[in-house]
Amino acid sequence: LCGLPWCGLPWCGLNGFSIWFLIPCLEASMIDQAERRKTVRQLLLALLAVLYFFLGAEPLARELTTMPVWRSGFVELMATDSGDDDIAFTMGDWFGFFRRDGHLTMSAFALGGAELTDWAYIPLGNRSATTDAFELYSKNADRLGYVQGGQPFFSAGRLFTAHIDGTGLNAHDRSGAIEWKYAFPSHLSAFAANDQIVVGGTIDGRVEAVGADGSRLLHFAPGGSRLPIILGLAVSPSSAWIALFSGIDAQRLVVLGKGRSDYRVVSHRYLESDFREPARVAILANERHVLYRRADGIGVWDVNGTIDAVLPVQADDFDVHYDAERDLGYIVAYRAGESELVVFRPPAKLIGRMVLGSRRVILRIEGEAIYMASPLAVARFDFSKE
Amino acid sequence: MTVRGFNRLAILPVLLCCCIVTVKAFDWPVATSLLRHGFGTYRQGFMKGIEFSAAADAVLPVAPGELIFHAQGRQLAGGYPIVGGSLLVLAHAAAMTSVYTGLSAGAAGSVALFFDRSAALGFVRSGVDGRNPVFYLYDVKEMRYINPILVLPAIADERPPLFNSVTLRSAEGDVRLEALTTIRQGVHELIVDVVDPGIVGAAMMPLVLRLSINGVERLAWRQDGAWADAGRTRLFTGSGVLAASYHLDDGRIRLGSHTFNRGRSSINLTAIDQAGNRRDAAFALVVQ
Repeated sequence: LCGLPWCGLPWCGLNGFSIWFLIPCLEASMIDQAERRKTVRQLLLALLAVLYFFLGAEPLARELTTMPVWRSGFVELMATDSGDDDIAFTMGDWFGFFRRDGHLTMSAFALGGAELTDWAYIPLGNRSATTDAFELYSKNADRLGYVQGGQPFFSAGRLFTAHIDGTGLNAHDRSGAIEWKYAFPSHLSAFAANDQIVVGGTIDGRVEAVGADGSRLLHFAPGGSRLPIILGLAVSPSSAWIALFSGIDAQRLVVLGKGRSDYRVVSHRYLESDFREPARVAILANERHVLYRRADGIGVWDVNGTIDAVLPVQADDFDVHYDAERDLGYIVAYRAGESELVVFRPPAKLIGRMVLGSRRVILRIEGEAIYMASPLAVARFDFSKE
Repeated sequence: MTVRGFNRLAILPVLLCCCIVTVKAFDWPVATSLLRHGFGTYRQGFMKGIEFSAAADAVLPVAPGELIFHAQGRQLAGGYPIVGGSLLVLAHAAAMTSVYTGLSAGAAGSVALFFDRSAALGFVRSGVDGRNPVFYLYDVKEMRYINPILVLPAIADERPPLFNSVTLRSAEGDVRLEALTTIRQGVHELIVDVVDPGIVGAAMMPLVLRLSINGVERLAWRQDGAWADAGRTRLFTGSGVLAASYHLDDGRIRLGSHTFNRGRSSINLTAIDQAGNRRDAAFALVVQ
């Protein structure tokens, strides 16, 4: 007989899961009105359960596992066979470059480590005592020039030096010569750059953007808070969007969009957080979704303000990667010295997550290949979902 | 005068008293004997705060205040370095902000949001980038760094500023000025090496610097503040000197280019420090 208590017909094989198909046989088995009402109630409950099963329940995120592909331990190695698309790594005092097949093309140990990008590096321990200059090398270990003017750093592949008091920066060309200098109104508390513009946020709550020639493109104070400050900044790859995390009491997320001549506020929202430290903001390379730090996870906001969602990822800080081909976002979330890799489909559909542990740095994600550095080696893992 | 008008006027002294109380509320974050480089000195650029010795231990807030920002580590997001490994910002009354760089985790490393003068903000860490800790005072309303000497309690000082050298620079070279000096006519840049030795062990700058040529005042700089204007740092209220052209790389100060015609000329320099001690220097020139 059918497993349903009010059915009584021979086994039909549907067993309650295809409720609509059972209705004719149910009608045949009903005897009186009371029984009918009871049956309808049960039917409705079953229907709700089925609807919840298919529509309401949040599927558990699948766990990611990694499959090691190769591992290359750090050894002192001067530049050999460097290619155009080598990946740079730095881990503690070790730094260098490697190919995607795991071949280290350059690897060095220098006290103080190095600043580096995919085309050059600057050993931080090699500062000249007389000129206070740093040496700039290509990844082939050819000296390109000297860098003066402050503490060097790379951002978006561009070379800068920070003014010694933390209130400005110099942009340098690929020989180390200063191209332009820029002084911000006060100490920088947030910074972002792409290959076209530089954006600085300051402790007095102002945002200034600087163009490729050193001219000011934007001067903006979001306001709206008891105490002004900029805690986080991001600029999209095309420079079309600038997102900022500002203020104390209340804190705000503000997105600026580039118009014909300047940037204007296109969306904003007040936040419930009360951070007194850097608060990460990132714009996905799809130029649409803004990710920002929240107390209850990582917020996802559409640049136009039409999406307001939360990814359940606890993070004090995070990095974001985006795979345009698969429309997947990757978050490397840092919390209490540990890190976790989270994969999601924008805006906020969790695909999977994987614990990375401590002292592991994700260098690059390309498709399903993850290039990581640990204290003694670089490695490639391909991840799969379970 | 109406009662309402009287009330309006009466509030002015009250506001003035509030301002005085506010200013009086500020105090040095470390013992003044530990100050090393003052506002206006050359530290790979114009120093907008006061650097103090790594021998200092606990660093106190300059006034009761609210923590608004605290970052520790090597870099901010985006790669911008954190000077000295830490940046800490307190908001005070009257839109005043104090900034501290190069401190190790102290009370600010905890969850405290409000600080009075009884708790250390942090402790001095040495050897980070080879830099000593620095504190700054920033006026949010006026968008400028303020010389802390103007706000913090005066330091006992009986020694006047000192002109170490005064030089005229032209295309033909440098001429160091003596009491009577012969120079060629033309345009010369005036360069001075001046310090205020009032605080033992510290390189401080005089608060006021004046230059007169042939009895006509050419500049009077009061080292009161520094601010940024469209990406350029400007100095001293009323003058707007560009910081980029203020110092030479050796720390000497450029007092502008001046034309000297044949005959006799005179240069008078005056430096006054925070305690009011004054130094005058006069040079006679024979211009050929």
